[in-house]
Amino acid sequence: MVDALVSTTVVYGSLFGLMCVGLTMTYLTTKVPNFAHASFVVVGLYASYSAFWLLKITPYLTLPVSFLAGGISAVLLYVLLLRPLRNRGATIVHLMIASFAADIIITALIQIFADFLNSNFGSKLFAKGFNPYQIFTIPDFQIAGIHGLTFTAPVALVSITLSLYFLLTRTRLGVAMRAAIENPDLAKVVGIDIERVYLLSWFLAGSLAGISGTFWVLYYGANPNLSTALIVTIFSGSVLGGLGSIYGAVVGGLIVGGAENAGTTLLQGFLTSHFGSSIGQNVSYFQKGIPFGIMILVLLFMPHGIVSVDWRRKFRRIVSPSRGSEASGEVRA
Amino acid sequence: MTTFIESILLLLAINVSIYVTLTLTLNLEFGYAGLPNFGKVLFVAVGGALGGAASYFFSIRLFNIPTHGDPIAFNAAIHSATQKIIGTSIPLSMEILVFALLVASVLGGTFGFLVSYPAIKLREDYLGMFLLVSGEFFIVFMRFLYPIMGYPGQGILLPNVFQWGDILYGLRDELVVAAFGTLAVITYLYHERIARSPLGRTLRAMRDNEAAAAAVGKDIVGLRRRVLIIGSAISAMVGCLYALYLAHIDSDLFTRTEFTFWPWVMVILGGAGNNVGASVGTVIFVLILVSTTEAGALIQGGGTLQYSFPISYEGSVLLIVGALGAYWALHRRKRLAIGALAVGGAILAAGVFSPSLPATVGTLPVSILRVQPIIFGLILVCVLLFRAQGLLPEKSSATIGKSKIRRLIGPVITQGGPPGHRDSSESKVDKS
Repeated sequence: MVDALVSTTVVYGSLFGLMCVGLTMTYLTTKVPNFAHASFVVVGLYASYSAFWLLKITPYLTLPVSFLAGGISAVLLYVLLLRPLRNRGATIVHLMIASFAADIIITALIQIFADFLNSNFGSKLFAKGFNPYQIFTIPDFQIAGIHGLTFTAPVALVSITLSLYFLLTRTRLGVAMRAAIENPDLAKVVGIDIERVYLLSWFLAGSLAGISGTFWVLYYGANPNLSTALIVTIFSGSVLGGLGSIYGAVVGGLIVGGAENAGTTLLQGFLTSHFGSSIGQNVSYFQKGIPFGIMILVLLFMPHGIVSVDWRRKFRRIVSPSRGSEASGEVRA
Repeated sequence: MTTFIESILLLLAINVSIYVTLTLTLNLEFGYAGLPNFGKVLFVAVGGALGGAASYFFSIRLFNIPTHGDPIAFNAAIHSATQKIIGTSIPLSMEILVFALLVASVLGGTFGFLVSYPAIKLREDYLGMFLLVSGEFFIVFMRFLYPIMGYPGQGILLPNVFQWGDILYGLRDELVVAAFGTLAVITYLYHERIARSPLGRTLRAMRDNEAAAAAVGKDIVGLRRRVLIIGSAISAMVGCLYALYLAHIDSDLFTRTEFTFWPWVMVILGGAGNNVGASVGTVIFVLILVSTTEAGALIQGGGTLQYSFPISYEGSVLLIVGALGAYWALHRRKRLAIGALAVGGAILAAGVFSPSLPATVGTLPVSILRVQPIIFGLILVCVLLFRAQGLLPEKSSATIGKSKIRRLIGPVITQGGPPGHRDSSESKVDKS
């Protein structure tokens, strides 16, 4: 029981770590609080799901598909919508509402795709117990009775964080990205192609979200409206991470996702044993109360996020919010 | 035929009168005070759920209706007993209505205050995220309120306080329109009064330059909180009226798309910071909403719209090509904007309504309910890209004449950017 709790908590936290990294990255580079970030997860998820059924391969081999699908949809969103808006000097509220509209549009397109799957392959999928509208999962491999995702998701999070670290500190492109984050005008002056950096950050954000979609569907259920539930935890984790540091986002996503999973499971056990199973089984109704509560506490007591508390010294040499005033300085109005 | 037209007109009137109030409150919050309220659905749901439940339990208490100890399980019996009493009684119906509206407005204001507490001091992006998260949390949490509002997917029947219009005059929907319309007119006059008062000018000053407003002694947090509380109380009343109009509440009734996103589209489309603009935006939005729904129903040939009607793959390709072409044309040459919109619209229509095209490959099942969010999303995006100030832009304050302002401060007032594009106008000022 405890093992299952620990493993699902680690997996859930790792997935939200991956999602929060992307949101924070696009926020850092282009200053867009991307309300459509969760829909990249769902895009990647459906891409992976379709590839899995079409090619009949092990689900982990569909990771490149979801990587590309998420990344391309993020780049399209940026190039078609957010970059023109930014060039016209739109305010941050207009960028927010534009990404909100993108979320609505992408969700509707995914619903149409689910309709398409249902009408053309419905009987085949139903026969195997998979309904593209309802909650579905892809079978995962198992090692000694333990879900394979328990190993792969944390490994993916750690390896991606490490590669981001090397990208940002050891490569020219990464250094250019940090420069563009700290001071876009100065970066432009010294000859950095800022647009390329922004495109890269959007591609990476979308593709990491797409990958987490593949992992998500291996264990947790999915349906076309998943993004509305995901975005709550993603925002909460990113705010806990301070919205100013990629490593903060990893930690924030891990903490908030893990707390949501562990808290829900523990609360369910508590409620079932004390108030009966009729209340215990409805625990998912206030599952999102955990990220919501964490967000309230963070906003009240440390609005600069976890990075402003004790991580500053350790990561002084990396992307740090204390440098630029724009990155996360003036959170308070 | 007249009945069809009448029913369409009633549908338009009901939708306009519901949404115009919501849009006006959002316009006060976003257009005047610059508060990005992405949690509108929270306040509507508070009013609808808690105000609706209050009307139910108030009517039980008022008429001493036997509940057999379980007001949810015996909902149908209690409802019919209540209707026997209030069915033809105007004063009793009004009593319940007024009580429910009072409860809804007080609860809405309270929730506005509560939500404002952690986030109101923060920058607008944090505030917007927090309000969105609050709304998402609450509409899921509402399902847990089944002891007062029924089980998810079933809900409870509320006292039908508009039934006397049906029984006495045969005019229930007209009565509902009158009730919503009264609320809308009062809200409009109130908001217009705020806009023309010193408070309205202070709000605009705060929106345009918060630091300057704070520096001259304006209480930014207090002002924002006051605006959020006013807007939330009125939104909760709309939610409560909506629940009483349906005479039914269910925890899945209020969605983010319908009660947060749609008011945003209306405000941006009509013009933020302009009450007439917001109202015009609402009317245009509802016209598109109702006409697309009716067109979908016609093409589909009856039945519920949950079932999809097929369009050919060629049609869907046309649709995508048309949308991309319109986007490109709008982007490259602004003068072709209207022409490109017309062409794009025609191709879109061809794409959507092309079940007669020869389907060589197969068909894509598309319901109009799925297409509507895309249409409204694209409308919002196009307005943001090509006319960010909306159809009717914000006007300067109506305190002194425009010519006098122009004489006083020169041509700056005509050069200033649209209200949404503060950055560009500020940078212009900086350069000079």
